[in-house]
Amino acid sequence: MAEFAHHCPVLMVITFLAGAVLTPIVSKSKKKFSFWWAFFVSLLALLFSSCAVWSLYTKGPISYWLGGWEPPYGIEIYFDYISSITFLMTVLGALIILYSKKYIEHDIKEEKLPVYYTLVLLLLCGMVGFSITGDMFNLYVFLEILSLSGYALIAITEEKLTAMASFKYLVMGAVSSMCVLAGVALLYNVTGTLNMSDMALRLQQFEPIATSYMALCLFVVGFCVKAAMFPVHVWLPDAHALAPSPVSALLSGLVIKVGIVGLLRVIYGIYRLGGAIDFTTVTNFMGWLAAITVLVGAFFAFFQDDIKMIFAYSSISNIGYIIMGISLISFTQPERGYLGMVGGLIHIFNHAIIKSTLFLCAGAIIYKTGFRKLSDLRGIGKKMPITCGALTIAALSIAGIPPTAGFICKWFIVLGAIEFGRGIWAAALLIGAIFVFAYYIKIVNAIFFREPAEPILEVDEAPLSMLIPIVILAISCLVFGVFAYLPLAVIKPAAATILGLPPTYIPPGG
Amino acid sequence: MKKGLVVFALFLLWILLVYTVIVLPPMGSPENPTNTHIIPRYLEKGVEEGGAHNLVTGIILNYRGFDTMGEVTVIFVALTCVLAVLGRENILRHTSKAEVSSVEKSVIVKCVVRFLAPFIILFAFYIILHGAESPGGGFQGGAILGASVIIITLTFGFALVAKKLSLKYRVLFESAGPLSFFIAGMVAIFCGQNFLTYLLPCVAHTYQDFVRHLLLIMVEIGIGVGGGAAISSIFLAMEKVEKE
Repeated sequence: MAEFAHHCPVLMVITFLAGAVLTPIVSKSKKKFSFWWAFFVSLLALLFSSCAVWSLYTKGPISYWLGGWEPPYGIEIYFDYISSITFLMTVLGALIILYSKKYIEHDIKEEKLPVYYTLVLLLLCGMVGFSITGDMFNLYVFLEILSLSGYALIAITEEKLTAMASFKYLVMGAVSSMCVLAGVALLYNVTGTLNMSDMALRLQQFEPIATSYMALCLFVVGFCVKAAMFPVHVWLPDAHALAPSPVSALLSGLVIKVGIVGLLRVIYGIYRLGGAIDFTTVTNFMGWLAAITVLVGAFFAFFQDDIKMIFAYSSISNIGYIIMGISLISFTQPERGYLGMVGGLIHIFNHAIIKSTLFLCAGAIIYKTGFRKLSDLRGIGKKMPITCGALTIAALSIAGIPPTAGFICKWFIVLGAIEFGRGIWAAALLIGAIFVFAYYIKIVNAIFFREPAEPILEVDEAPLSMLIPIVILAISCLVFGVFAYLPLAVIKPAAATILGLPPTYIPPGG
Repeated sequence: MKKGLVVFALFLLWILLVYTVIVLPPMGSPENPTNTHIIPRYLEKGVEEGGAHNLVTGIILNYRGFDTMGEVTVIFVALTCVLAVLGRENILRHTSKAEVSSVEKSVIVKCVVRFLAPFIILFAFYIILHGAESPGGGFQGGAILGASVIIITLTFGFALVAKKLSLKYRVLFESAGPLSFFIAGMVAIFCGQNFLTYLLPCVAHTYQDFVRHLLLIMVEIGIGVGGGAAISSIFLAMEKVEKE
């Protein structure tokens, strides 16, 4: 068993990869079969990722040497606490593929179904590979796989507007990938290695600080574009709102989190561990921008009428929360950043679940009615009670109402910011939260308490293959709010190890 | 005004990046971190450990094989992206009516291509198979293979190539690259080794080198055929756009 667990991280990646590559072959004669194949592949990968995460929390991180070469010479897969996000990716991936069955058949031509599932599996392959690798160039390779498949998934419906949104994303994404590649090249030149932990060790031995600092800036810019932080968020609203809904759920729930994983890997995995360069100027700057991001996202979301546009802007605002949480770091006293880090990490987890629920509910409503404007959807709640109930739970969660999942993360981030002496950040967060509350109240009000218009009366509940993922996700929004100690038990050791504290660290005062 | 500001900002960024490059360790100096840390091991033991006389092939397929698997997948992703946006070529439309070629190719072009094409394809396979011994390899050979398909398409028309290189087989060829890595890797796992290990202890000692060579050649062929098929498929898919 231990032997098997050791292989699990790499098996997860190649299951997605081989599954994606085989999709066009197995569904050559029967295009609709591609759904069952993709679903099977995602369940298999889910099995491997649960096994890997189980092994991580019972026996500690897995270091896997590809090809049997010891780390600085070959590529190392390092499955640590940050990598446990792969479990979230595989679960959400499987649910979203299940949801896609009906939605995508309705949205795109039948001959393109295998292409769609191939791209979804490749996107998952890229994200999983990105999160588990311990090698800088490998990180870039998987970043390319996931970005490219993301661009194509937005444009797959062949509408003019989606092509434009995809192109905008493509241009900004390509520039950000180049930034990351340039960062990798600079660090390689300074340290002579590509392995992350080796890089961290060697970074302290070499003089040219300017180069390492520039590399850090390039990484931060590159990953912040992927994460859609202000002022480089402009690609997100169109891309996420115009993509097919399951794709929006994947992009908003997971793909933007990849930028955060990249930031964690580079800032904490290389620069903090190296200890030679004081990166707090950069993280401070990130934190201020994050505070602005929170406000900008929340503010623009308030004035949208298209429900998917609202959710897309709200994603920007939430990325602001996460980045604010992870940039509360002091170079000399790592324990001061603990609360913020816990908040940021738990918000990665919660926001992925909540935002996927929101986009999937919006997708179900659009699938049934064909409308996406809030003013057209008045009174839909009486006709689609389950979908709209789930939407309400998710909306309450993201607004941060106490018994739901969204409360705990904001609580931790606000506490962290205040304890760190950044009252203004906490204030920005609270103002943002009020905006969020206002616009989700607006949605709930419109769908439940307004008189339905004529076309809405004909509508009935969404099909079962859509309801199952929606209900599972909505229930987990509640469960992870009420039993918040479940995710916290997983995330606390992760936050402590990222900051260089022992995994069992308990902050003073509990 | 706005343009001026953009140019100014880019100029500042340019100065910053140039400065960063200037303070890098001097290019080509033997004391560089890049030349003292990992490279010596590759140079000293690479040929023996990597299993290929061509050191570059040894590094990209063996030491850093997982990266190469990713790169091959990127080619496959690029192809899938093109198919997602443009769709496959439409054979029916082309065979139902006569080939709408804008200019009839001259007989000289046709003759030369007819004569050269087999040699180009032969050369492509030579490059692919010889990658382990001399400069070359799957990526280069695949590009030549794809180019040969393109030149034949340009000369003899789309319908002929789309028919001869029918989708039934092309779908298989397109995924050859990642699949060959997958097979080589899984062989290693079933042998109790880590993914993408080529030197397998479960094989009798005298055959270990042979099996390693066989696996490397299989991966090279996979990369070459996959790359060539991807290039041809992208080209054929674009043909459709031009005609519409």
